[in-house]
Amino acid sequence: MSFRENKKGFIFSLDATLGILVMMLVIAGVARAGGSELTYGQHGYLRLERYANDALELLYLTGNTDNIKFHSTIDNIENLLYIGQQALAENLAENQLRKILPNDIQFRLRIGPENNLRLDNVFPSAGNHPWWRSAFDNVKEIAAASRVSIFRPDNRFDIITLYVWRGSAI
Amino acid sequence: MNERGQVFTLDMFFALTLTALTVSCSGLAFEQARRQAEAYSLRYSLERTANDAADVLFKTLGEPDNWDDNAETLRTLGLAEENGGLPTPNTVDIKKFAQLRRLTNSDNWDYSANANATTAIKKLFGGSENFEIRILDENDNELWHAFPRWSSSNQSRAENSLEVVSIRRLAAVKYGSAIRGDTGRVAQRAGSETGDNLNFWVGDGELELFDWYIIAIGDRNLSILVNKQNAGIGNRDYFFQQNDVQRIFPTQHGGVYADTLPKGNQLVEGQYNSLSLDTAGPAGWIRVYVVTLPHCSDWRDAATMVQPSPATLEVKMWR
Repeated sequence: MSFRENKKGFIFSLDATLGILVMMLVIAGVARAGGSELTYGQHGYLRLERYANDALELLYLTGNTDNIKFHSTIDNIENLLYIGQQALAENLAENQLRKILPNDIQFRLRIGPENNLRLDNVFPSAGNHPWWRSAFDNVKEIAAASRVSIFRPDNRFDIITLYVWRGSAI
Repeated sequence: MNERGQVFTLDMFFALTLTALTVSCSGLAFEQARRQAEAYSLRYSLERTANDAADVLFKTLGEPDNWDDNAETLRTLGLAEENGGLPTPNTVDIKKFAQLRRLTNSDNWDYSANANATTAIKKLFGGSENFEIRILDENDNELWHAFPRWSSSNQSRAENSLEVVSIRRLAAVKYGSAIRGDTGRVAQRAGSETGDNLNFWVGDGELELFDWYIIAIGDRNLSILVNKQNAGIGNRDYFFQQNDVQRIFPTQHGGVYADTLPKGNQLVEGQYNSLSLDTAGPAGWIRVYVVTLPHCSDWRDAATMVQPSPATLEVKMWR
């Protein structure tokens, strides 16, 4: 290879260009490996998952005392559902979860299987359910926690599921 | 042969330049990757330690289970409330948190008698003293905090650190162990009634460890006398009116011990103390609690002891 033979040098060849391109990609990949996104990816989701589990647990731990015994929020929701007060149960769950979870964490609570729901439409604010439903459907990262409970009058086991995600309120 | 050697050709020059660039870029990239990996692993270990510590704190009782009765015996720190011998996850026992505050304050942290307990606390945080534990109410206001060598005038060093990990777990501050005495709901007929008492134990050192408050609920006029019997409705240390619904006594920092009660009917350590409850008014009911808060708390927080309230346990660690 020389000028006298009038050939272009190695640097101008397609192979070299591709080689350099591949090398740059590798360097960029290596540099990104320890980036902050990875740190969030591992811990951010873990935190979200813990918010879901902790909040569901707190529905069993917080509630009210009526001078005789303690009633957890879940007990109260179950009682309201039993006497057919769906709207009150929905309000109670919304208010309590709003108290429990930080403002930047949004939620949806569901009781029962998808085809036979006992309680749905529990979102961070009363009303605006279509907006919240759309936010829920479109959110990229979501964490869920579930517990099983017995419901009257048929004493059937049903799943209580709490979904949480990061987002701003309406 | 009139040709110059290959080393002098332009091609060779380009090749050498390219090699030098490649080596230099690779070195830089490697260094950057190494630094990021190192920072990541340090951050990861800090996150992991703080996460694990928060988990242990509100899911275990600690060792021994009743370490709050004698904090110097602490082997493993845990703050969960006990229920039938087992920990109740996601709860914070106020008595245990008060002991933690006592152990970590500036007077006790370096005191030799507490060496085993402070070592046990540090062990939970990987041997580090760079930690802070806070309990926040549902509106994110701080109820209590604890960090090594805290005092009423200083802040933790987290504020000055470039790398701080803050883990927040949702917890319930349950009334259970914070209530030291409870009359239950007492229904009463119209007129005046005397002779009801509420007895409660004050252990040795507990007047310094806790702030003591009385909470009255109900719809009758109620006179409360501390450590004095049957003095009549006109004589009282505290008075609850029938339309008050709920009141905390006293409404001042420090609680009953710091109150201006006459000598002779202040609280006494190492024995049962009593509240004499005299009522009057239309038929109704009363309920009286004696509750304790960690020393140096806001008196308004006493109200949170009556109902289990959502709270946040925050663990901060830093380098």
